[in-house]
Amino acid sequence: MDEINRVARMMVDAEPAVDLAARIRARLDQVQRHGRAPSWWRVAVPLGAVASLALAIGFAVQGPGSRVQGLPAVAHSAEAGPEVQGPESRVQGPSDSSPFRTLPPLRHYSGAQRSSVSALSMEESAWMERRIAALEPVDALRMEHLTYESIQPEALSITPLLLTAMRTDGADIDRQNNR
Amino acid sequence: MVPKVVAIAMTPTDDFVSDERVFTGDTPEVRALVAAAREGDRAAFDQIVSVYYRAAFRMALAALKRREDAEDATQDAFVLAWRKVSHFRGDSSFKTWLLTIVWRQALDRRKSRTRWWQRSSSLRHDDDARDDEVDRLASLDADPERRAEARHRVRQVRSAIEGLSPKLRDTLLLAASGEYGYDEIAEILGVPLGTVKWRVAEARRIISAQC
Repeated sequence: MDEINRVARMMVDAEPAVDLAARIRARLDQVQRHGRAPSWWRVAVPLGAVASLALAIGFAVQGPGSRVQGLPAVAHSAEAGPEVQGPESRVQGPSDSSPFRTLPPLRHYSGAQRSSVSALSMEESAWMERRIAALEPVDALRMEHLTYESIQPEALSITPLLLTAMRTDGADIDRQNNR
Repeated sequence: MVPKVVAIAMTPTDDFVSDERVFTGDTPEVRALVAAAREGDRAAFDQIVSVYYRAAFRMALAALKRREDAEDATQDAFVLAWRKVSHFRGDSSFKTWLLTIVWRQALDRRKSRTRWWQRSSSLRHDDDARDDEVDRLASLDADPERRAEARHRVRQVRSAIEGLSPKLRDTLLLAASGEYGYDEIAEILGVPLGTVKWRVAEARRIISAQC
């Protein structure tokens, strides 16, 4: 056996611990006792798929209009107390023909009238009031109010370029050494 | 680049083939044990463990170099083999199927071994173990001066082997262990037989050039 073979064999020619076989059997006993450990992928993937499907169905059922409200439609369907009209004026456009729709009147929920499903907290109500008009869908057919003057750059001014010919001495003399 | 003189240099030496019976597939006894294990006979699988745990350990050791890691990988591999024994179709020998599982477990463990403190501790442990092995090999020579020279040569060759690329080193060590034939190694590593032979020859060529 040459030296390379001998050294290479030395590197792997080792006996395992005397109890390795026993330890392997003990591991197998453990596996048999406790059964197969759950493969989390097999649980997580179907759960994720079901959750995604439920969300998609939920959005489809609510319709596209509910998206601009920012909260599930169930929040606006509960029985409510006196309506609050205040926030509407803030979000109205400069004229009656503004493409920005007025926000629907907020429903003020008193503490006694809150239901467990559709209650709006104070923070949620405050957030609803702060909604900016830009979130509302713009009526693309009514764009006449938009003007372009403000964004137009200044008109370019082009100054005619005045050229004065340079005259050098001896320019009309043939040079003997052309470089 | 594959060397042209493949046919001559690729013949495996007798030094790498210790027992022809090992390479001819499963024995009838093993086949019977496997058939029983596939039916859920745990006692039969325990006997399979007794038959193959040494070969599995040495295979894992070739990949991992540390005894503790090799033993852990061997345990994990047998647990996985027990879980999947019902899926064994018999396309290859059971030994090859089992050792393929061992090899993959060892490689996974090797890849996950990235923490520097594990490496540093393993290097210290391996140095101590290697010195014993080097002394054992070098002590074959009676003359002290030649023994020291032999010790130096062994260390040199060992460093050269460890400096090989993983593919060349793994193939060389598996072939050198004497537990597996080239065809088994090819099946376990998932490469053609010619590739195994070439890797062994190439590894030997590189080591010879360095030492």
